[in-house]
Amino acid sequence: MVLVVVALAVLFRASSYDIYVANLAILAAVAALGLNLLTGYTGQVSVGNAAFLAIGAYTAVAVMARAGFILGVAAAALATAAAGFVVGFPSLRLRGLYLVLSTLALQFIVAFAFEKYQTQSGAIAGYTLGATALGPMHLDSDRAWYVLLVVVLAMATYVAWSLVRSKPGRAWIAIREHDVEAAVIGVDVTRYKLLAFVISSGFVGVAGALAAAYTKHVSYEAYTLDLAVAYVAMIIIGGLASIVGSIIGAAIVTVLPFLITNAANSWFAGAAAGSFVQRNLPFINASTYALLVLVFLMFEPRGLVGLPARVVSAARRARGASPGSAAKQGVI
Amino acid sequence: MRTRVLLSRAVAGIAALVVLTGAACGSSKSTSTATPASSTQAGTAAAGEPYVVGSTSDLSGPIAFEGTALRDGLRAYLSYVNQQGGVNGHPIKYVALDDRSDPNTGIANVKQLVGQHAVVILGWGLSNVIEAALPSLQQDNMPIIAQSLTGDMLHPVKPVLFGGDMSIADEAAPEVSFASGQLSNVAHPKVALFTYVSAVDAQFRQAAQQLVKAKGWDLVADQVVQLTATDLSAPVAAIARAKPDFVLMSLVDPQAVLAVSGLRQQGLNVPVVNYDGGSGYTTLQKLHDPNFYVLRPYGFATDSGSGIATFGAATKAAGVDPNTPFLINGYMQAVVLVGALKSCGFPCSSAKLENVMNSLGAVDTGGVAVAPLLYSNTDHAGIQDARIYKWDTQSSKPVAASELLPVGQK
Amino acid sequence: MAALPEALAGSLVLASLYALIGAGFVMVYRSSKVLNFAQGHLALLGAYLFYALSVLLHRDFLWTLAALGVVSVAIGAVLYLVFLSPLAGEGPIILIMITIIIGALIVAIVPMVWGTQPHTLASPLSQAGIHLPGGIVTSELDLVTIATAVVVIAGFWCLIRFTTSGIAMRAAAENPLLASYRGVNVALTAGVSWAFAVFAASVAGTAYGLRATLTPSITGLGFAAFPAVVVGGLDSLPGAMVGAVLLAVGQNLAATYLGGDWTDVTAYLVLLVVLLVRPHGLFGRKELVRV
Repeated sequence: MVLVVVALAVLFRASSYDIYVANLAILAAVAALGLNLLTGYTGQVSVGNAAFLAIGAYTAVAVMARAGFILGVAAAALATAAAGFVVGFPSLRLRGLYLVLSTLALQFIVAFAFEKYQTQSGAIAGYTLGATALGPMHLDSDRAWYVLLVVVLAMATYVAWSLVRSKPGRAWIAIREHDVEAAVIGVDVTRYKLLAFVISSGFVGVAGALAAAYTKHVSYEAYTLDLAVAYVAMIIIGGLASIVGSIIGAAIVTVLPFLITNAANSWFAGAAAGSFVQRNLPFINASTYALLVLVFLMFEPRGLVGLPARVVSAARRARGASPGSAAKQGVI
Repeated sequence: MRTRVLLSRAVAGIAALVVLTGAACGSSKSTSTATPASSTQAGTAAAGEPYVVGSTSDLSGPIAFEGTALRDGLRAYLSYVNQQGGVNGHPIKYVALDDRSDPNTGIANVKQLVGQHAVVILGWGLSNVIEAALPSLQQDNMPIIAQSLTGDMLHPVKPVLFGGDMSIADEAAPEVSFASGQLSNVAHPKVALFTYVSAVDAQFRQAAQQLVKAKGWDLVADQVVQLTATDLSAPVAAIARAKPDFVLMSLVDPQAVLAVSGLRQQGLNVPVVNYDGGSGYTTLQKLHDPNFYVLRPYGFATDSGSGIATFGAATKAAGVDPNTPFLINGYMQAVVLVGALKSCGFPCSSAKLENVMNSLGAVDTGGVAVAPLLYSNTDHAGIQDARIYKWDTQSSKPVAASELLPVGQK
Repeated sequence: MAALPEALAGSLVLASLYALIGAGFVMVYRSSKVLNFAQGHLALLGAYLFYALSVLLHRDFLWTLAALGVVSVAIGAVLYLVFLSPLAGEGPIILIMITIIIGALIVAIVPMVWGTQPHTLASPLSQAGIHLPGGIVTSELDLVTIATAVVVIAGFWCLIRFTTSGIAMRAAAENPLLASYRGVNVALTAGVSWAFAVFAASVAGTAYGLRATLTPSITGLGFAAFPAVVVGGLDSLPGAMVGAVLLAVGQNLAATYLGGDWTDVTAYLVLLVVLLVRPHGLFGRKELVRV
């Protein structure tokens, strides 16, 4: 109920700019959910998210103009899931840092491929997509998109939540805790690792395709390593192996830069032109953001969702109850 | 039980997202609600009501050196104008936003500035950010004067898009016409092409290839490097081996330095001409090479002329180095804008400003631009001519080294 | 094939930069199992420090270099003490993120202090061509760069090979717990490794900055050097050097025969192949999984 009221309040009260930023956060949340299934639950660290977003977006460009919006998103999900399957293979051999390096290679290779493709097809400044129609509905405003994206996020949340509660989820956690032992107790490690890659990248692909259709623009320069790193930051800040953490983390990482910039702009509006603050505002913003993430890493590496448990256990300790009830979550 | 707990947490998560976004809105509203209130008063044209001018450029990302220079140039001239009493008796309120080279942030900036009733958005260091923002700009009739338009965005003219600098594709023709003057004594000229990898620079490369072919010259080397490459030894060696009589280049400043010093080290001392994205004062100074030329639509702070004197005074008052690359480009965007605002009167809406830009005609820059800029309903490029500069070792400053060269393929 | 000797000669300067950056990676990885994503950013910081010190010391090249050594070693130790040592024992993802944040802070702070406009470094070393037999052209700056890289890395290798503290470092890297029982100061060895990493990166950044103009956007050097380290083996110093040469030559050949746009992707394709075929690289030690 509360959710519906708040969502509606945003819908009717907010400006087009506010809704646009909210939509970016929701799109990020869908992809972050996918990444958290892979990294948080299964323990496979990946910096390949930007590459998967790009695969989703470019598939959408190719398919949507011909086959429409729904088929475009479906094709993007399939293409990205297939790419995830291929990328998953090295993970059967590689663990930890070596897997990070192989997804780093994916980032460079995908960026190169799309750059070549785009240059050769003459799309100098990227591809522009047409208006989106969902059946008889025309998604021609930020508000209409907001409604659609909230529904998509709810669906994605439900799917992720069902998965982690059922057999795959338990297998993933077993693999994360110790893959050799997981095999000993009868978990099909190969199958479930690949499944994690396929489903995770499918989520990311859907987010990439939706973002392309919403912003109506796709160009290879946008899919940077920095973007991939931002997604890793999202799930760390929100909380690894946490559905709700993925959403909170995505919201914070997406909205915070806008928030800091706007706040700083109004605080320092009076600063003299050419003063140190005026000239370096973007760098002050960037370092504030980096410092906030740093504070999280150093003092709350379990993410925001770990915070309530910590507060509770601290309160209990203060009351003299036995500590240690808040079990240490698996950290990869 | 567990199910319900999990579900309610997920709901709480989504609610948190919504609330957080609301918080973001809150602070943006504090800036944006102030403006509509004041612009209703603006109907009666109270003295002191400002024109709101926005900009978006990369202020903190990988090409922040360009984005911050554009902003500093803009701010220098707009502050100068405010100190001289503003435009039509009204000051200019300048809002500089950071797009971090990210198209989505660029779109958000457009929406924010539209909400603040800006009349124009300046800056724009990346063509893909412009392409991404174009639907929003056209929907709101928001004109832009941009640093990095592609050839396709300028020819034929498109609503709302106005050029603040040459498109890279338009720089091939003046480079080739300069080369043809230098090569007039060579029987069968051999030329080399040295460019970087990007969809935009590919346009320069294509245009240059066609022009070289049309001249009947021999293209003996055609090397492309990555924009991030920190080592150019292989392509430099390939060009030196081909022994061209002339090198046509479009490389950014740090790579231009690597390329030219590498070629000289290999013993190739023929003339090299670079595009204006790698024509910085420091580049010329570091190379101090008698045969290294750069193409520029705007002069240097060391030139003379009334406009340059104002440029020097304005940048000094703003506390910025006038020789910073791209600073003069931002400054010139502001000069063009102020010219248009004078004709637009007060109040001036973004739609009205676009009409004014369409019939602005020639803009006199007092010699800051090498030739007057021109905006009309059939030409949004602004820049008509450019000029070649080189480093003069005797006076230790850049000097003009050619007549005016028409840009584009006119 | 006339291109080959020239490509090889031209590769040595690039290889020196890769080797310096890579040696820093290796030392940090050996001592604390951290994959340092900020190595390129540290090179950027080092180059700007050289610029600042050079102004301070009236452009005296050698004194500036010496001061850069002291300052960069101090910065390395401080980075370790402030950011890394409190998080010892965290998972790799947290540690990687910490190094990424260090990088983000550097690219935010450098332009605040020195501005975004390009700077030139004062250098007494000439870039004029020196012609060697075989059509190879080099310069004073190139030769000094290569020599410096060799001396810095070989010196450090000797240090950890033949001194007791070096043996302690190797012990600490292989089994921190066991090493600490034997009285090895694990934190100290990790701190020394970070100090060396920042020092090597600063030398690489300066060597690059002396060639081109200095802007805050040269951090790409770090990611360019990753494949070299993987090819050589993440935990092997000689491996980093061999990997650097192989990578630089490979990239130069790719640039010559495929085109200059193929350099990065060639490096990462090689990285992927090495990861799949021989993940521990040419000289690295195979990691055992204990059940």
